[in-house]
Amino acid sequence: MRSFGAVGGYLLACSFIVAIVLMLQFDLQSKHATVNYMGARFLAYQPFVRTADPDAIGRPLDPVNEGFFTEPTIVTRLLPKSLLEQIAAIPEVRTVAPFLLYRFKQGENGHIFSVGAYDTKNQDAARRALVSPADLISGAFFRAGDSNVVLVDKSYADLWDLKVGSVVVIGDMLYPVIGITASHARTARADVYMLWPDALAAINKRLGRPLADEANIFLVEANGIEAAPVAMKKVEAVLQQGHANPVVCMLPVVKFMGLSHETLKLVLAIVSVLTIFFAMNSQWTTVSERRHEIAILKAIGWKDAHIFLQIIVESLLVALLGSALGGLAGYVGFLAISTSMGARVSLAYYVIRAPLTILIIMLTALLTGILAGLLPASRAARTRPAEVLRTL
Amino acid sequence: MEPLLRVEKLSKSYHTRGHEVKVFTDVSFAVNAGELLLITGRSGVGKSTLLGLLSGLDRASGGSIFFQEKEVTGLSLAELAELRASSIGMIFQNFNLIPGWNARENVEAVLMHRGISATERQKRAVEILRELGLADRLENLPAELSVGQQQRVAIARTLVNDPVLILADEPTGDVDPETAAEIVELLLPRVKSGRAAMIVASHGLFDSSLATRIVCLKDGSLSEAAQ
Repeated sequence: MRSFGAVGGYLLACSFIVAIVLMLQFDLQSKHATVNYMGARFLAYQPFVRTADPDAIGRPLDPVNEGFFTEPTIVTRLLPKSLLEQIAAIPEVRTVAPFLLYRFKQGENGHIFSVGAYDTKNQDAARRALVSPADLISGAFFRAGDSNVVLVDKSYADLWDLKVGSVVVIGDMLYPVIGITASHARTARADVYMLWPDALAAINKRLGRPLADEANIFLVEANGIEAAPVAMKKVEAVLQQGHANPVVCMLPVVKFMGLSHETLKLVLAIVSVLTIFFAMNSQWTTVSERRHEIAILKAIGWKDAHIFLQIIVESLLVALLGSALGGLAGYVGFLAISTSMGARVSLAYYVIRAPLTILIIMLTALLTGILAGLLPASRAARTRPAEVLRTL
Repeated sequence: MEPLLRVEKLSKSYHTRGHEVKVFTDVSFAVNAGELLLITGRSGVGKSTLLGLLSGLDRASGGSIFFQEKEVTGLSLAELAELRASSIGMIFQNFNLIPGWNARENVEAVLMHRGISATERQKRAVEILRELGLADRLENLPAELSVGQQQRVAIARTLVNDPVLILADEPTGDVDPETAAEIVELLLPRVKSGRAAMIVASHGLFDSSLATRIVCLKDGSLSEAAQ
């Protein structure tokens, strides 16, 4: 009867652990996916200091209204594009693309808008951090061979009632709109996106000197969220007095995720300790109740080692049965909870990761079974049969 | 002929609350194969304690025990367990069967951990239980057996490893005269054939006419009693 109780204890503990671990795992996975989408990318630039050489910002002809900047209104210096290779060589960096973001004032009484230069040579990073075909609301994305066409951000298009086929005036040139985009929470955004050579030509007309091989921002994507803080520091060092700006609240999220990891470990540690304590108590009681039986076995020739092994094996079997049933119950519980929450978990998670996690928990439970059995088994092995049989 | 068991100046005392309580001192005797030694004495004089020492379940405070001319008092617990498993059979007054194990398993328990295969263990247990008339009670738990049947299972457990020394503590103490006679009938042939020696501790319920020799434990000393 007591063995059933012990199995029940393992069952409850394991089902609780499995359900909690799977839910936390699922939660972490979701956070990872979200943060990796939004937060593993950052902008790197060098803010302009007013006392510095005005040539460092390209000598805009209308420096009051125009210039290279980054959100919200930080004037940035121009940096050599050759830094791209140094940034790309940082192990924590996955991709990097140069970026030009220039604020235009259209006409004498015209409006202010921003132009972003889309670099097709580093398309991967540009698409991840800036704008991609997935952001299209209408029209088409930049294609090979395109020139003198623009994409327009939805908010800007709404403001000026622009549609696919409309024309945008930038400087003294007309550019047809081929697509409207909504890039939501991308690391960088502009009102108008132009291909790099077109943007270069348009911007050069507004500067006192033409741009050399320069960019004012680097769009960087780190190798995952954990690598992002290190990547940011290293990129800042490469840029010398550079700033790395994740735009979204990546660092607090990283910290929060760390807390979540710690919480997971803490919960597991507490439940594991409680399970060991419970299992040990249960085995201890079992051994106490079976002193007579143990004494008989020793009287008929069982050695201390045999008794020890017997108790350990029993403890292991109890743990195996309890954890198997508990694992199953926890998995069912997780399915029920995740389904009721409307969570969409990948099939791979259901058939590979979750069972693997359960297996690991079961193996831990078996280890717990052995640990929990050690002390009672040692006590059982030290039973003095003459004493026990005499008291009967 | 060398005695099967020789006991020399055996003593046992306990320490309780700082005081030494002597159970017996300088007990000496010898038993040969084919002999049935009956140890008599009032309850509490130390008969069971003496059997405990002879079986190696307990340690003596002094003196020596020689089994087949080998001193066993200094053996380790594991060596003593080995000796019990291979050469000594024990019968207890209250049978001491394991309640959660069936009759066959109780008998098999003696053969476990001795390098005997499970099939062989089972075969030997079933064989001896059949010999003792328990063929239809193999899978029954002790609680499902009568007192007589329980005692027969206990005897089967004692005899299954073919012991050369049988130690019996009030083997007929809790049973009716008929069952007592049955028990003796089952154990005695092995002794009479010279295959084993038997030492019985009893305070008077065992038929003393069956004994080869009778000794009496009284006031901490062992003395020969008149038959």
